[in-house]
Amino acid sequence: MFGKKKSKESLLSATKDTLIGKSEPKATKQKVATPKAKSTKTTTKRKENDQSLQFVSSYNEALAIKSNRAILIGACVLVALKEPKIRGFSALPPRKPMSMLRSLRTRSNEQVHVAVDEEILSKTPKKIDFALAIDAYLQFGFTTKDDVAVIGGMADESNTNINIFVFSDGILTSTLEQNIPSALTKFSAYSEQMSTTISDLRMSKPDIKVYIAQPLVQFETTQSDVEFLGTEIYKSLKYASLAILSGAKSKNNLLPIAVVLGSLVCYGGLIAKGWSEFQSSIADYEIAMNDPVVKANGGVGGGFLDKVQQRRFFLEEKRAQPEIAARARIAIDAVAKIPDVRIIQISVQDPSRKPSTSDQDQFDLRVQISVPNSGQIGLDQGKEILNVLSAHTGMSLHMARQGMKEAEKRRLYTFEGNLNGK
Amino acid sequence: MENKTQSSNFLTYLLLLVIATIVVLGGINASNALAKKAKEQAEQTDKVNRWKQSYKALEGTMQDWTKTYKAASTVPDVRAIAGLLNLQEYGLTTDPDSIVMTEPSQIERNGLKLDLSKICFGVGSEYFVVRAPTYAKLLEGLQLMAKRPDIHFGSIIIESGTTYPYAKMGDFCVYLRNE
Repeated sequence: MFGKKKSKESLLSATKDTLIGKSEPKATKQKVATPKAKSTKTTTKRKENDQSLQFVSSYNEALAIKSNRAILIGACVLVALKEPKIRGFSALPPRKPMSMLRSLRTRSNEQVHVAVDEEILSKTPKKIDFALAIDAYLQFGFTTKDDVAVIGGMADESNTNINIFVFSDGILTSTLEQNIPSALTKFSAYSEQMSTTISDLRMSKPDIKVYIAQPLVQFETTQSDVEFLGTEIYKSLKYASLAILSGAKSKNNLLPIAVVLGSLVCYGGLIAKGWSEFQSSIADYEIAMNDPVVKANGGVGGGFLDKVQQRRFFLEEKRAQPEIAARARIAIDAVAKIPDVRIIQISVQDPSRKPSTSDQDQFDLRVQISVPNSGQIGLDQGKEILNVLSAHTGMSLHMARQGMKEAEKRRLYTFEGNLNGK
Repeated sequence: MENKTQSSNFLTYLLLLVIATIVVLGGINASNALAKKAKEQAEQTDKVNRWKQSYKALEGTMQDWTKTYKAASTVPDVRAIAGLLNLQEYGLTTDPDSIVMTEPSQIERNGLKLDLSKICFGVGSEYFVVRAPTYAKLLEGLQLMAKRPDIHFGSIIIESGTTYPYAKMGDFCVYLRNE
């Protein structure tokens, strides 16, 4: 345990040297009171935070976890831009030093290496899900502009372990880990060292804005551009089992397979649905077409029904012949009223016939009869007969041209006329 | 090494997501195409069903048609046609030997052939002549015959005759179904 810590510290100091360089603490005159830096009663505040967020910085703390999720922070997590190989620590999948979109766009191969205390990885109860505080710092830093430092970490009874992440326009440019006096036991030394650390940062980047994240304890500082962040930056962290955190790919690998399988199932379902609709429509059609009626008439085309329709009209057409026969009967009956009459010819034509010039069918009705000579003038006798015929046929008849002929004791008369007053 | 694996993993996921999207879109397309086909087929089915409905509506007409007109195949010759007229039922007689038939003509309405033949005939060349013992019987017979839809005539000329009165019927025809 001791040896491990020592080697870690040596690595950290080396990193610090290469990245930032040592500098003397330099106080500035300004004193900034940020909205979040109001309370200096940090201990009570921490307790409040503990209720919602459980921070774990060592194996012993991990053993004491009571909730089912915790955030790994401080000494139990190593972060570096160069791959650290330290005994007792296990590497986790590396992070990107910039947002995912940005790293895709720039095709950057840069990585942030992360390692976690092996004891925590191997011995904590499996049911507890963990997240890494550094992910929250990175996430926060990716959204910033210009030069920004995010300082995170946590204090125990002996030390305060701090992580410093330096971003330039949202890209992580360096990391630094330090052990400084405990904020719990030596608060003034802690405050002083923090101020010194901030001054160190400003040696190389004078305008750098500094964010200090809880659970680091707030302190009074004369430094400008220092802001204390609450625990809300941890809210978006995703918790997962240590197995998954340490790079077991099962979860990540199942997802794309599930997506592809899902899409195939979806595809199959869509095709099956469309296909069954299509099939059932074909089946419906075949049922309809297999009807013997349809088959017997050579299918639905071919104008069969049009023909039947025309047949119906033909059957319903008004026919003249019943009227012709009826008229003939009326004429015969009317003629029979004339005493001693002889029928020579009674001709009834279709009233709807086409006009003709022939004598016989020029008129709808033509009556040729012979009667005994009554001794009257021929025309007078004819007029009497005409009156009888007209009265009984209901038609207005007239004597035909040259419609009377004398033949011994009889007279031949021809009368004619049209139906409907034509 | 690890570095490359991770970014290539991400690209793989992205690729798979794209493939999945294409597959699903393809499925939707195919499903839509099939649905369109199904709709077209359903329209065809509707057409058949509408046809059947019309057919049902016209079924009465079809029955009337076959009842009204005798099939030409059942009438092999002139004598058979005279028998078809069934004149004795109307109290009329004719001389079958003198019947002369014209070539059948086909009835059309609105440009559609009805598959109905019109065969016209008469005694001599112009008229079909029927006789009856009295005028009353002659007229009665004519009126009955006029009601028959498969018989057509356009005029009646009644003459006294030497023994019996007779009627000369102009444009006298019978209708026969072609089948």
